[in-house]
Amino acid sequence: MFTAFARKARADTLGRWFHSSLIFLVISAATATVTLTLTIYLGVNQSFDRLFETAHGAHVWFTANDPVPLDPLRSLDEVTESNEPFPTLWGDLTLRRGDTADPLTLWGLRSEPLAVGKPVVVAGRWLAPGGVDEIVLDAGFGRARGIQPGEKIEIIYRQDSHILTVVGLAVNAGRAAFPVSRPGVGYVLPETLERVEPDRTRWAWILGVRIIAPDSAERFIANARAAYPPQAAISATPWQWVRDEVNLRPSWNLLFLGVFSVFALVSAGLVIVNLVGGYVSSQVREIGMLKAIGFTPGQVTALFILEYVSLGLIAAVVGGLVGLAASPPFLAEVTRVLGVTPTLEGAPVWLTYILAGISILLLCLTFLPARWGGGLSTVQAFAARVNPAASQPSFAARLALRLGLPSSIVLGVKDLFSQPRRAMFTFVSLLVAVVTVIFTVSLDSTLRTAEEDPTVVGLSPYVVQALRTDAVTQIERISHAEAVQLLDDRSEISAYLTLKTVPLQPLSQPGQAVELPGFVSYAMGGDYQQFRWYVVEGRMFSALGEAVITGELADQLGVRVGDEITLRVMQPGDGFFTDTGKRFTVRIVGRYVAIQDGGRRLLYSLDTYRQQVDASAEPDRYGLKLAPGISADSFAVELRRISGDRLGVDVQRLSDGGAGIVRLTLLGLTASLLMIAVVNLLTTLQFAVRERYRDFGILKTLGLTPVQIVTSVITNGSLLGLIAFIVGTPLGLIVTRVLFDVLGERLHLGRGILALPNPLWLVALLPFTLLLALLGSALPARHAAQVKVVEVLHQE
Amino acid sequence: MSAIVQTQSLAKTFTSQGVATAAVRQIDLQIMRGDFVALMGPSGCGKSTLLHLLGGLDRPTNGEIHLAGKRVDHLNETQWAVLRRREIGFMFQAFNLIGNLTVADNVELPSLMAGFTPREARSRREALLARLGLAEKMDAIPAQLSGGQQQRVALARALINQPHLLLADEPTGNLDSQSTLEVLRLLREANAAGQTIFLVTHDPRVADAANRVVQMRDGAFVN
Repeated sequence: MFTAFARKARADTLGRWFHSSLIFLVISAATATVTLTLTIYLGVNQSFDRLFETAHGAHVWFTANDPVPLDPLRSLDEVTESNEPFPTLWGDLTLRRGDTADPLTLWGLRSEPLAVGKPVVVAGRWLAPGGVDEIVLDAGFGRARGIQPGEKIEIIYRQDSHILTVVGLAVNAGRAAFPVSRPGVGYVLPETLERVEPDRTRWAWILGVRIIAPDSAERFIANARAAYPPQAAISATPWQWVRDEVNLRPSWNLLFLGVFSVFALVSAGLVIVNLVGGYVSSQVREIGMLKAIGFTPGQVTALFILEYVSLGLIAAVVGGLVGLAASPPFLAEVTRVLGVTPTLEGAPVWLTYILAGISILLLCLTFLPARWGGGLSTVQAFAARVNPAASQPSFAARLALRLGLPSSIVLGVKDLFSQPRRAMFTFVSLLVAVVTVIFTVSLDSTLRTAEEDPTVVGLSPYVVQALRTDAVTQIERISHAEAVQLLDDRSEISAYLTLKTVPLQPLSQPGQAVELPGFVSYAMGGDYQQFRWYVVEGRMFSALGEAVITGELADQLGVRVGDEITLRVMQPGDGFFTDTGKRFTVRIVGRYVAIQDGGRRLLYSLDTYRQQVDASAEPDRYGLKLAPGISADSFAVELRRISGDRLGVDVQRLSDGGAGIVRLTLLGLTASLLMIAVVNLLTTLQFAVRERYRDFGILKTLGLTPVQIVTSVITNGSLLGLIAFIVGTPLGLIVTRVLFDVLGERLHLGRGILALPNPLWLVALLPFTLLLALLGSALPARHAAQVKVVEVLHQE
Repeated sequence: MSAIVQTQSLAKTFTSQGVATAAVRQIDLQIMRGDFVALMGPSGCGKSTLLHLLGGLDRPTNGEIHLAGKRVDHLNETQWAVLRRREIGFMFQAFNLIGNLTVADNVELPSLMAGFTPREARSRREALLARLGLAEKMDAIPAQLSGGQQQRVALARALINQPHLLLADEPTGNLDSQSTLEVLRLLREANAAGQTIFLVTHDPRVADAANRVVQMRDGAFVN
């Protein structure tokens, strides 16, 4: 029996090769998209988890300016393992290589691996005992700057040069790789650190601990922090923050791949329902014959299911392999943020899940039409006409007739909803295509906007930042007056703003068990009005006493636009931040977007700060807007040079080439979905033409020319396209807006990060949709025009 | 009286898998304006093929066709379609109405295709349907009509553009006796009003309605 089934299924599949090819194509495309999405998702998550496990990662990293206060943390009940606090040095430290000078952080680690959170060597080796001239670099840093083990590098600290040999590259589960996490990290022996900076008071200390309940790391931090006096400044980073930071950028990829996967599955499902339903209803006579030779209803049903599920499985395997083959550029993004190359562990297992899922989907989609076919009685089947009589008049056709439209168009309208369910599926498929195009165009528009205006993705509105004080000690290296004179003299700078860093902490509330953590705020002056600030609610500050806040900080402080808040002014410097005793009150007038400092920022004017706290306060850093055509990297080197290395200069980068891959993939996935929509339209019209075969013959006897028949079929398809455009455009904008808002919330950018596409794009979508409809209609229209009247009459 | 249709040595040969079968052999036919000709013969003798050739639905292998004095056998498919709109009406055994158009729309369609305004088409349709006793059925769809009613609608559709020639292929083949008589009465009335009719049938009673009967066998006329 199975042989009979297999032979019949094979003959059917090969016999209707075009139909089979379309199904194959659609299922392959959908599976490839789903596989790609899952690959990225698992690649990101598995890679971090594996690295964390290999590194025996710390659940919490504490940093303080003195090793002693960290020691009590090691004996807390919740702590299961910890390492000894180790020193770190940053600020005034750069790695110079040719024309580039990158800020650097040094960790002073022993040659023995850390008990908790050890860096994992991915190239070369770890530091040797006594290797005081050795350094192991962050793998991301090494890759970005093309540094290999064995090379010598120059480190500049306060004008002193130190030559070290890179002996290895390592990744760290405690921070994302450079350039996602800046500055880059170099691992040296404590003795080497001492050679670079003998003054231990300039060191900071780091402690990594593992705790009993890793998921409650933030609560552990709050409890641990409560054991210290309020003026003590200890920063802490839970492991989840690192994981989120690592997953942050791939989130973009996951968002659009996820959206495309859903769209692809919906579209493919619609195509399959249309194809299978149309095919079964066109095989009525053959079903009668099968039954006449002894097929039971169940066997007829099983035959159709076997044909489609087996074809679908082959297509799914091919699609899965294509999806895997397309994944390397996306996994490279994972490599970029994590520093390790993901391996697709368990790929065969989850590929099997995908195949099983596709099979179940196919089974569900095929079952109803197949059962309908199986349920036909033999007499019914033999008596069925090729073109079943319509039971409803076409009101659309009547309307078109009354409007005096050309008869070929009237006939196209007539057939539009002759099979309402199929027309609806095709319409939805076209709708998905329109929504997809709008999503793609909007995403592209947002990426372009972000390139021109980084504030929309939460970056600073200035690309180059210059610091005149030491990042750690706040010791002045160049006076504000000197810095201003230096900047004013440079024609490369078209505008600059000034920033004064002000640590603030919320006031303790009566009965509050745990203090809210402090945060960094900025008192801003200079030409800041010439920079764009991405204010998503309310407005930018303009008067004394006004401030704008990021959504993340607003949530943490429990304030909203319109509220007034009073904060403690903290003093950075030796050891911990301490309370200066001064209070600072601002009224929140707007919410803006920033992802630096963990998305927790407050901005107000320098005049506000001077009025309330310190009348002689001066900025410590400058955000520069460069004249058109000026290279930020080259100018940064130049500025550092002319300042005698007294200005620390940093360049902000939006991406390191990732956007190009995203765009390319967007285009590929969009094309794939459009192809599915065209296939759906094509199959719908093909079946409609087949079912209207007799009608076309009759119309020819009435004088309809082949061109008019082509026009009528194309009218049919174009009308579906037109309705899809009218409904799909607003729907697409709404769907895209919602998805971007969800992503914005997830990335702490807030809602409203979507940059709407140019309206011309939306206008251009109409002819584009009609072109798609034309593509899908062309072949069926040609078949309809080729109908032979004599053949139609002979069939009667 | 002038000839509406004239054929000379008209022939049609079908070739299937290398075997040629002559369906129509060297037919010379003349149908005069106002004539009502019935073509009779056994199944497979080539009656319908000849009718298809005269209506331009199929291309002759050989010979000439003249319609209202113009040679038309060399026309391409589009030219034939345009010609049919105004000059040839068809009736079929299976009625062949468009299933999802109302009676009114089915009848008006050829008129609109022929370039008449919707108002003219409506006026013609109303007059015709009233004459054929179908005024009440204008908004029905074909599936809601009896066979006889459907064939009357088909007749209305065929006549709406007042064609030179009405070609009818077994128009009563699917009808009961009562409906057959009704359709024949209408055909005779149309003929009496000047409509030229060429009707294919194998029913002698139907052929009796015609002014002239031509017998065909094995692709050729026998009388």
